[in-house]
Amino acid sequence: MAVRLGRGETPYMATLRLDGVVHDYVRGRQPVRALNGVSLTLGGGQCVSVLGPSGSGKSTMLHVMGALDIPSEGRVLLDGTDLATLDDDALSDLRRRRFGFVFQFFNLLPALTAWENVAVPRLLDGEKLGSVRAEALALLDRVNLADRADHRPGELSGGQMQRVAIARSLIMDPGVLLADEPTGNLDSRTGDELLDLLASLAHDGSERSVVMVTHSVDAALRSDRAVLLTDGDIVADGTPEDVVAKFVGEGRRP
Amino acid sequence: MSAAERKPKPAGPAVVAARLRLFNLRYLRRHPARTALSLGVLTVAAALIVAVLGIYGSVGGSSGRLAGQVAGNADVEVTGRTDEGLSAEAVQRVGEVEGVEAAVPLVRSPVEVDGERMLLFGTDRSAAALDSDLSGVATDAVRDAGQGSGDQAGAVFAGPGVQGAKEGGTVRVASMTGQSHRAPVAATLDGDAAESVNGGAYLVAPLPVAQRLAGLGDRVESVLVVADSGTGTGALRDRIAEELGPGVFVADPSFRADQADDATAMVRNITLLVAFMALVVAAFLIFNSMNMAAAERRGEIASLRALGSRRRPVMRDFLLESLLLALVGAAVGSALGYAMAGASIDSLPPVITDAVDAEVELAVPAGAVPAAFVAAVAASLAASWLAARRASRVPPVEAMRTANPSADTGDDEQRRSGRLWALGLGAVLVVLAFVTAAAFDDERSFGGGSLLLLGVILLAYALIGPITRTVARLASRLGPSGRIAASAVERAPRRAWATFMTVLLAVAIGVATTGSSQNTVDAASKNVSTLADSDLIVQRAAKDVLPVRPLLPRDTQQQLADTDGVRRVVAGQFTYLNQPGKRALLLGMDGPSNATAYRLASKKARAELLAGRGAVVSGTYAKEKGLSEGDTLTLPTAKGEQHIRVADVVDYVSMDAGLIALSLDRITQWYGLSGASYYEVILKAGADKAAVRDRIEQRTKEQPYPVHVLDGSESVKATESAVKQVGSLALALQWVIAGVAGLALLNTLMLSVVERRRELGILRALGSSRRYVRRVILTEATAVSVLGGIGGLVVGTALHYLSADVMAKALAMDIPFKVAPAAVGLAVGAVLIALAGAIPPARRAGKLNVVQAIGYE
Ligand SMILES: Nc1ncnc2c1ncn2[C@@H]1O[C@H](COP(=O)(O)OP(=O)(O)OP(=O)(O)O)[C@@H](O)[C@H]1O
Ligand SMILES: [Mg+2]
Repeated sequence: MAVRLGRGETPYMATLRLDGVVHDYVRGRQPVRALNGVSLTLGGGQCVSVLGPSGSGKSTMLHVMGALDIPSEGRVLLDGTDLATLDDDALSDLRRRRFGFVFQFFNLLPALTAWENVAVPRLLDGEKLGSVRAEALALLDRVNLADRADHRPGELSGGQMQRVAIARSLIMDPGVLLADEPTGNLDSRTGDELLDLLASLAHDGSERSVVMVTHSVDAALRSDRAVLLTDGDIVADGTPEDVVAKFVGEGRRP
Repeated sequence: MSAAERKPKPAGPAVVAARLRLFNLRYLRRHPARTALSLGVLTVAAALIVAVLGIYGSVGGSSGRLAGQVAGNADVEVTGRTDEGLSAEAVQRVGEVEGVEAAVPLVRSPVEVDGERMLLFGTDRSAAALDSDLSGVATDAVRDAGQGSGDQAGAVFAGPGVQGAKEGGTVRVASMTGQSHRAPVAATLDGDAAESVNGGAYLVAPLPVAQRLAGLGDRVESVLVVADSGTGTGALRDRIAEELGPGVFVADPSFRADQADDATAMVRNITLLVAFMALVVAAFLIFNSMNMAAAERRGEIASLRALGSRRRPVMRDFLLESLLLALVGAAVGSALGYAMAGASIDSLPPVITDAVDAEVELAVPAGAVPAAFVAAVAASLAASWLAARRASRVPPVEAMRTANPSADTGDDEQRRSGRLWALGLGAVLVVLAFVTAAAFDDERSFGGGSLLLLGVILLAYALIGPITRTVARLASRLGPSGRIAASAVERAPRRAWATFMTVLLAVAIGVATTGSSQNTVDAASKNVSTLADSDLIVQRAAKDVLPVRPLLPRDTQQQLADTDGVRRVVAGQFTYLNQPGKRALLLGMDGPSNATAYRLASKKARAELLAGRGAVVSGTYAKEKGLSEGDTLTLPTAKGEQHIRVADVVDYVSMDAGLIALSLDRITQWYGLSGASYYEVILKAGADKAAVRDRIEQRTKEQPYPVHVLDGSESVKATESAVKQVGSLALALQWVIAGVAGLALLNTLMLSVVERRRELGILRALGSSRRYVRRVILTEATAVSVLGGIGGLVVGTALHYLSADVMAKALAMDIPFKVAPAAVGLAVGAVLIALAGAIPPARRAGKLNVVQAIGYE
């Protein structure tokens, strides 16, 4: 079922390492420390869930991982390269080719049809739209939306929009897929289906890493590994069962 | 790390096109109002450029083209000092000057053919040497006439544009000097050359015939001279001038075109001044609309950036979008401009048509359309540059934050330094505007108006904080809904600023245009106000032009004087004095007159003038020649150089090099003219003006041409309205600008409602009435437009001052700066229009569906 397995130029397997990452938001006079020296290594073929109370730095960690934001201190290494040494263009290229993003608010372009939205990253990569169409349609089929290929986001439900977004995140065959509360705006049944879909993406034989930030214990239990953040520190990292137990034990269950 | 280091494929045209189509064109299609506005602004700007250049290019070009069609190979044109032309003797002497290969005598008189103004040409066989369109047509005519039998004597050949002329028929030809003849038509001409000369509107006749019809006697209008191969033009000119003396004027054959240019300078200049300002406003509106678009698409752009788009393509997409809009706008605008120019050419005000002898045909200069494209593209790209750059710098992480990242958040640091730059550059531009206005005394000084506006826009951009805070403060004072309106202003300062600036610019341009054209009209009208004291004025020229030509014969004076109830009749004769550069205006009078120059002169000077011992000259002329009262004025005349005392210098405004008033006798002696431009009729005490007027009208009906009998005040009003025509095009442009600004305003306010749908919906959900919500929007609009109106008055007054100054120099007229009270009314009007523009959005806000509005994301 895997589409375009092993897209030659994009190595699937990626090692992403955070090394003592600190992140401060400077807004006004008082800097806010969102990450307080986080270290973490991601291998391939794993689905990792990130748990933690609100404001603990989950989103910030995801942004830093995905080259969306630059850490204030520490290093983010993708296959050994320090992202801090790359310029904006190189970071853009990296986001486009090595990472897939699934956003909480879907972030589809409203003027584009579903398949065009899926094809956007390839267009950004300099490919003609026509030559990507078949692949985009195949990916929509994979997320069970083949019949909605020509609909615009305004004509889709939330769950459908998020599935389009997942298809979009796969079109570049990224080694790392990052999702920040991808089901935060969906009802729980739709959410569960999507979480299954996301988790399965790490196990489709692609050696892809999937990182998803979630508030849901159910979601975490579906992953291979869980990380618990509290006040910018990783306080637990291990099997979902252990981490969830700790998370729930601290009474932080949302 | 191979993947990250590898460059993306260079985007081919197909990919760039696909990006443009998906990311930009689809957006434009989803926002038809905004797109229409941007396109509309560009279209109007381009149309104005093509129309203004087209109209004045046609006017100037028609004269220039005619000069070429007539003169052909001629290197030099020798003509009389005035319309009286050259004597037969002078023609012969020109031919004898060494270095003259051919001297072609030419009659080129404006005449009325069956009531239509056109040209009468007359020449002889020597015209073949010119090898011009006219000589081609004329030599045929002259040869055919030579072969013609006796009944063809005195016949004319009609150009293809002469309505109603048929071979074997006759036409009535009324000369400028008061004769009227029926002339047989020998043939109507056809062919390309025949059609091209003056658009076909002319008669050609053998020299003697033309001389008789034009009332020239044995004189000709000019001699066209072809130099022999060994003689340079400059040397030949000097030689002719030396041998014939000051009684003739030796010039380039194109001098009439230059004179026409000078004569239409006032209209052209006012219009250009406004067109330049329109361009700045267009750029500002595009800047706004691109900025709004960039702000609105911020979320989409953040998504694209998060998905891995580099910065540069984001910027490129934006610039391509504005390029595309500019190209479409310029294309549509050029077509529209052509149409506008074409329509205007057919209904040019008499002040323009009267200044050019040539038939004005639409001839948009080759550069007009490219100029419109360049201006539209440059304005559009420059205006969207900032927006594009801002868009390309949207941090990708924003995509992760909210559904709809706020439009008005962003890098404060960068903005602060940008503001400082804007402050500095704006101040420099404002200073530069006044320097430009002061430094140049030709069309270049018009740059001052645009620079001032640009400077003001930059300054206002730098002061966006204080401006929006003031707007918010005013809003919060305006009743209970004010607080909410104020908070809306504070949260979207850029939008409030854009609205404020739109009102400001519209008011500023209105104030400046109205003020400076009012000042110009006042200054020019002052010239003729004393004529209102005349009981009646009789003239052949239309009532709303300076009655230089056609002339009435001198014997009309006696007829008028003999009319019952008339005490006395004063003849006045205007004529132009040809001299290097601009021509001067001569006025002769044979008695105490109400002509301004006479009335303004001292009692002693009046006496000297009428006695033929002194001249009264206008300030412009005196300044140009360095003369003051008591000096001796040396005039080139048909009788050689003549000297006369400057009896007085008076304030008289004219488009030319100035006015010289003399006694009618002097004009007749020195320039041989024998007619009158107008007669002032002074009635006996107690005479019934209407009855006398009736009697005069009865008598003048017998004349073979129409004669106008005017009341003194009527004549003054007509002149004022003529001067107003000068400003009419500029005023029309000003309304176009105001209209576009109004639309822009409506659009911004509409957008503000759409953007705040959620907030307004919450207000409604919390129990506010529709009326309250409507009032919130109206309060915001009131605060913004009132302050915009005040700002516009201030900026407009500065611009008015500058414009009056620039106009004064470009026209060499004394235009006193005086604030027009109408300006305040105009500002109030603009504010009211702005408020009216807020009503539809306010109604829309009131009608918002609460549930939908809250759900809106
Ligand atoms: N743009 C920002 N500017 C300033 N502070 C920020 C910004 N984004 C996040 N923060 C702060 O950084 C800290 C971590 O925020 P982050 O969004 O990473 O938390 P989170 O774990 O994702 O929370 P949630 O579960 O609510 O999404 C918080 O204290 C937050 O207030
Ligand atoms: Mg978060």
